[in-house]
Amino acid sequence: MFSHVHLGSNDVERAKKFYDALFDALGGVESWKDDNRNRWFWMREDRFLIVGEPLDEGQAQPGNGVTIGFTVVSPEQGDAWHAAGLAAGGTDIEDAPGIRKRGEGGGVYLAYLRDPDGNKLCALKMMMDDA
Amino acid sequence: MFTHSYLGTNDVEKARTFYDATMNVLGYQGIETPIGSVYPSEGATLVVAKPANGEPHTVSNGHTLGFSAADYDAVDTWHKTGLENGGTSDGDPGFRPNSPGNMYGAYLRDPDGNKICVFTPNTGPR
Repeated sequence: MFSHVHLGSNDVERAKKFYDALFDALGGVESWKDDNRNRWFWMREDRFLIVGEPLDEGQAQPGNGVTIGFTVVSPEQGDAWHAAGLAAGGTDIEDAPGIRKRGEGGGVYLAYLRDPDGNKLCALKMMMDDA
Repeated sequence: MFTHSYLGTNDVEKARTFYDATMNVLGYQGIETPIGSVYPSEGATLVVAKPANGEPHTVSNGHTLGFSAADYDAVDTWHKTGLENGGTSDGDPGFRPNSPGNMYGAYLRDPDGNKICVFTPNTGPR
């Protein structure tokens, strides 16, 4: 469904350190800087995250109602993702990382962060059997 | 990479009209929820709804959500369908030299001002 997500940053090198830490917690991914614009690409599962300065050269501004969900393979990996983000300049938001019950027989693991520019992120893992 | 993306709206009906039409072009069907719509797929889910904190939706500067399209025709149809359903153009269909592999894409603003685009790999001249 999604090809890529672009998030705005007012300090691209700060963002680079933050997202490198997040992706390292997920096992590491390929990243490169755009030759033409001040923005970084990370590629995972043929999808791109791009973090850079807004094209209108204005200030990057988080939107209320915007959240990006990242795939994690386990609650343990989600916890590592969250801890890495906090250590690299992110902010803890919402409830603490953990499994939210969804009726009988299932749940969803969620962990939330804001990146250093205020963009809202989460890590998600559906827990079908053992939640 | 991505499990889901949540886009805020301040007008659920307008957003539903726009996303039902444009996501259908890409092969996805909407499911209504009390505060918006979700568009699930095997790989990921789009959520278009009122912000969960009860505050008004605001547009993010710097945020763009990109969707995958099957081919050039799907990109063109998506853009045209968006314009017919309350969207505004933020870039006509065409090749984008700054994208990896000079992909073919198009840009829209949804009725709430969220910036979205579709891209398909470059398979030769249009």
